[in-house]
Amino acid sequence: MTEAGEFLERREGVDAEVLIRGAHLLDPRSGLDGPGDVLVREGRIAVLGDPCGLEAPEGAEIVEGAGLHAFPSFVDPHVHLRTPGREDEEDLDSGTRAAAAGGFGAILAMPNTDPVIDSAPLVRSLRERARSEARVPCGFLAAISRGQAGRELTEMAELRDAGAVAFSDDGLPVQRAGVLRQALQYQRLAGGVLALHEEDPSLSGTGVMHEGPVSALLGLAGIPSISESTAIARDAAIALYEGGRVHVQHLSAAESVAAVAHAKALGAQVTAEVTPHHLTLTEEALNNYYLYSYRHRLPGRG
Amino acid sequence: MNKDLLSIEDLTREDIEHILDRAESFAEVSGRAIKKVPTLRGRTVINLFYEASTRTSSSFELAAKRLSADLVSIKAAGSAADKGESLKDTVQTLSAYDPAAIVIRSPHVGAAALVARWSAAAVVNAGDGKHEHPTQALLDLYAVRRRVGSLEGLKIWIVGDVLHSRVARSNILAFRRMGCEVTVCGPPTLIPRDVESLGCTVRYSLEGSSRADVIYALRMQSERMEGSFVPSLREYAARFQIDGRRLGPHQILMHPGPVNRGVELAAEVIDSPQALIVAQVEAGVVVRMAVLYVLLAGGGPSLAAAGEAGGAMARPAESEPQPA
Repeated sequence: MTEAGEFLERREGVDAEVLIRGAHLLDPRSGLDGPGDVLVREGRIAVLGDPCGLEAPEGAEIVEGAGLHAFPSFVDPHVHLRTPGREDEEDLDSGTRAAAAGGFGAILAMPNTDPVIDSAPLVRSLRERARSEARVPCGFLAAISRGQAGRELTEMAELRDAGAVAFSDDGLPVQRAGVLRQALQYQRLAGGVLALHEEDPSLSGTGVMHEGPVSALLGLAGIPSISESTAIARDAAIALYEGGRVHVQHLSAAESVAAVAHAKALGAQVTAEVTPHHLTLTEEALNNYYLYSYRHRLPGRG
Repeated sequence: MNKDLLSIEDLTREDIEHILDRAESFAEVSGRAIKKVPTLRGRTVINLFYEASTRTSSSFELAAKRLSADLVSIKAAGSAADKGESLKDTVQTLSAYDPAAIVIRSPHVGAAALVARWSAAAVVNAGDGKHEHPTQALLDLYAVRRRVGSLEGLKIWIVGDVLHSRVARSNILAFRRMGCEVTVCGPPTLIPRDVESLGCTVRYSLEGSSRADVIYALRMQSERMEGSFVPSLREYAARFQIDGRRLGPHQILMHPGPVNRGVELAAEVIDSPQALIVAQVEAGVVVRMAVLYVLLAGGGPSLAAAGEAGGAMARPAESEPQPA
């Protein structure tokens, strides 16, 4: 991940000196799964030891980990910092503090702000602000199309040089297949994954929740799962044809998982993400609790 | 040589060298006060241009006149084509004048090949859509050969909008035919898919272009500069404009014209000693003289064979007045 590291910014801080004692350590990558101590020196994991077997160096903070789990920090590739434009909702300070509190060691912010992040000066100014405000390393995506209007490509090469970690029209799908194709061609020059919000507006219509028995019962307009899965199938096919890399954002339907798996089996360079709420909630949340706040552009699905 | 010149693909290396050698001898004629030879006296050449052109049409006109041919130039605007006459009918009408050669430029791929089927005259493709522009490639070869002596092994970088360029297509084929290494370079959106099959290498950055002997910049048409093919003129220029920093002192700079100053080329390189652009224009007349000469009067065993096949065009060649 050294490549991605160049695109992340955070404010200068004091390197941590911490001893975590007797926590349950879990790291699937290294096969770690059991109690132990972690000594952090100068901000890096220095020593792993037997539970309560390590001495705390002078001045180090001690965290009693009994009954707790310690994980490698998480990365959230899909964050909205709402900056610029809606700093009243979120800004770099509040967003990165929340990330740190939740155990996220790096985050990537979406460009669907006001104005949209579609020019190099905007990327530079965000990175500048992150250098003074971000509590965790923070990267910024730039838009695929100017103003996220889905018609003209942004200056992707210059945006990349300015430090855009990837490209996305998140919040909106790239509706025109020809524009997506050109963006994927241009990716050969500019680099940067295209992160795609997959949805066919002509299928989503005025829907507000998963289309199924609950939408039928509640009388709310449904969004069919095929709105997402057909868009994924189309875009993955274009990516395969052009040899480009795409990342599918916030999968919400089983059909979408199948579309991603199919594309990968054909050799397409496709990755995907899923949100905790899409894994843990279904449309039943609407039925049981009648909480309209659960309504979501990409609805929870049964 | 065939009856016609439709595509570089139709030419062997020997055919090309024959044309270039002939052009060399006409260059000598062009240096004289009276730049005219009687080679094509009494023969008729028709210039049929369905697309705007300055240098191609004017150099074909001069070429025909310097060979003493009778010349008819027809531009699409104001012609019967404006009144809805089909290309085939136009060609049949003009054939009544018994032309020795028809030079045609058309926005449609394959137009010259169609005319060649319909007419006994020697047909010269002066540009058919985005397909080919063989005389441009020949004059480019000629200009480079005059500058450096031999084409063999030269590294040629063709930079810019390859997708919409007939010049690029003809030049890839022509430089390859002459033993050059050809690289095409531009934004991926302006490089045709599978262009490697023409025998060239593809690059999406000018990195490495310092090793080129020739940098051949293509015209970037204004309607392709905004929006979809490239994000902006700024970004195109930042990545692909040839300027003083990107052009080495021993590299040759070429451009088919007309140049968009400040787009594909910075002003400082257009007038630099490395630029071959004026020489390319000068080469236009003598190379087109050579093409007309070789097709109409050049003789040679392969032309004689083509003449037999060509039926009505198998006329006795004139008494071979030597141009030099």
